[in-house]
Amino acid sequence: MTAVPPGGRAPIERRKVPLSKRWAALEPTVLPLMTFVVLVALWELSASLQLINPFFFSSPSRVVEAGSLAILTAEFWNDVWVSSQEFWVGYIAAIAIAVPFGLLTGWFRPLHYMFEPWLAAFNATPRLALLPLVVLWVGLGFWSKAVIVFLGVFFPVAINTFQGVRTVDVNLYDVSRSFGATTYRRIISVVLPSVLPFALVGMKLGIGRAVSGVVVAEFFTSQDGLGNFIFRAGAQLNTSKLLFGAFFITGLALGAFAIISAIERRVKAWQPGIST
Amino acid sequence: MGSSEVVRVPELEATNIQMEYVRRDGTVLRAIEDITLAIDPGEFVSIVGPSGCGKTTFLKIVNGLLKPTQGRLLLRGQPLQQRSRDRAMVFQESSLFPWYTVVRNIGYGLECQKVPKAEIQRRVEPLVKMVGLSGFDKHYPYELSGGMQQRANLARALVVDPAVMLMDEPFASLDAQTREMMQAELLDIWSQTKKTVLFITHQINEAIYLSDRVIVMSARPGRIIADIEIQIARPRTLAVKRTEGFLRYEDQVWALIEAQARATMQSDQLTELG
Repeated sequence: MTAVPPGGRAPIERRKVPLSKRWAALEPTVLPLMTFVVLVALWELSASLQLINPFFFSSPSRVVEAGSLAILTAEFWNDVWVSSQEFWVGYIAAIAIAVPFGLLTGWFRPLHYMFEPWLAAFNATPRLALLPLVVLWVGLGFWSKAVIVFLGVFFPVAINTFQGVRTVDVNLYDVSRSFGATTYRRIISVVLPSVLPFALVGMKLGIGRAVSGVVVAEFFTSQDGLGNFIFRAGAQLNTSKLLFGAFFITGLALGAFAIISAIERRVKAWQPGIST
Repeated sequence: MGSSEVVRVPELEATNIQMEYVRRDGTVLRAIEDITLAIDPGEFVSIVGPSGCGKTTFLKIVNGLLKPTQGRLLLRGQPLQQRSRDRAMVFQESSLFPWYTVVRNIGYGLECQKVPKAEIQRRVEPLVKMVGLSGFDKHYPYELSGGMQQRANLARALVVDPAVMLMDEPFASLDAQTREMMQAELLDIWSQTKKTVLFITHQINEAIYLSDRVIVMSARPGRIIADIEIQIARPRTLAVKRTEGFLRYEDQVWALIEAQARATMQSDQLTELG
């Protein structure tokens, strides 16, 4: 033991990091990859050993093969382009309207009472059941899908936003008032920073709904788009192509998820610990 | 009260301040009643009282966050403006904006006054130093200890250069040792800045140590029941708390508050029984 002068600091001592601690750091990346590899290997193996019928269940190599054929066609990229447009237009429009709407309904008590129970009810309404109605309104084209996406995203974002408003710390609002902040500054410095993390949760929930909305709506109403790609593959009894389409959509959804998560990390830089 | 030679205008003058709330069932809750007091420029005045006596309500009225149902408030002889740069409040624990860094938090008041960025930076810097937060400018509040958070809180009020500092139990959530250190530091900063301070606390010892005058409030409805001048020479070190004179003040204030606290407890029990 070396004596430490009062107010001074003991020199930092370093040792080799024990193996168990190093593994603990790798675990979160390695283990999920391992699950993936094992499952894919089992699938491939059971297909090649004829334990399952590849006609129904395909196999990883067959999916990759179907995929590598598909991505060489202009038709496939057209499908991707069409679906992406439907997704992003509906998604961004929903957020652009749902966040201000959630802020207003959260902030003004009468608006809260007027809309809160109905938002919950509409949120529980099966949106795809409204598809025929949407088609009647806006036709079979691009807009029918964009509207379905919009309906899927609007409610979770609006509901989470107004829940977020209710968590605004009254004390911080008083601080803001006491320093003479204008209404605008109060919103910017107190309300929005508290609400944004909640709105982002709604946006994440919305991604899954938006994607399934696009795909299923395309089954019924489209000549193109990734949903229609899957539908056509099914009609051709091409399970490998069908699965490739499904996995590709998953990939796109994960991409959208990563974008929102990146925004979330920036927004939450002031919070301790890890998010998501 | 009346000084014989010079007529000084008090920094802050409250006359017959009263605050009432109407409950849902129509009954009236009177939080504070008939508060009259004057504070001279540069004076350090504390208000102590049993919990729920309306100390914080009074402070919020002085700050302009609440409008009294009755009474008059003058600041340097002028009626109070709703929002004014003459008063700044140091709030209780965790009132820093968690999403702003230390510097941004401290500069908040100036930002509200639309002071240019460069000037904010110029004015915040010396204060960061004064409250001993150098090197923590870019930290977020969650990365600071409770004591450091309250230093930042103090700096945030000081930076707008108010005539009156309003402090609402700023050290209440700190541990005993940190609290003592912060009290000493506050006196140090106060002697450098010459601000008028109105300080709310429920800790008697803290009030006596810091103040020129200690005002004791009654249980609800809060009234002023004593105004005690603390004649202990400054600068005061923490050791002064263990002197006989200090302890006498403590006994005196405690006796007043104890009677009030007992009365509250009794009436609470009565309402429970009734």
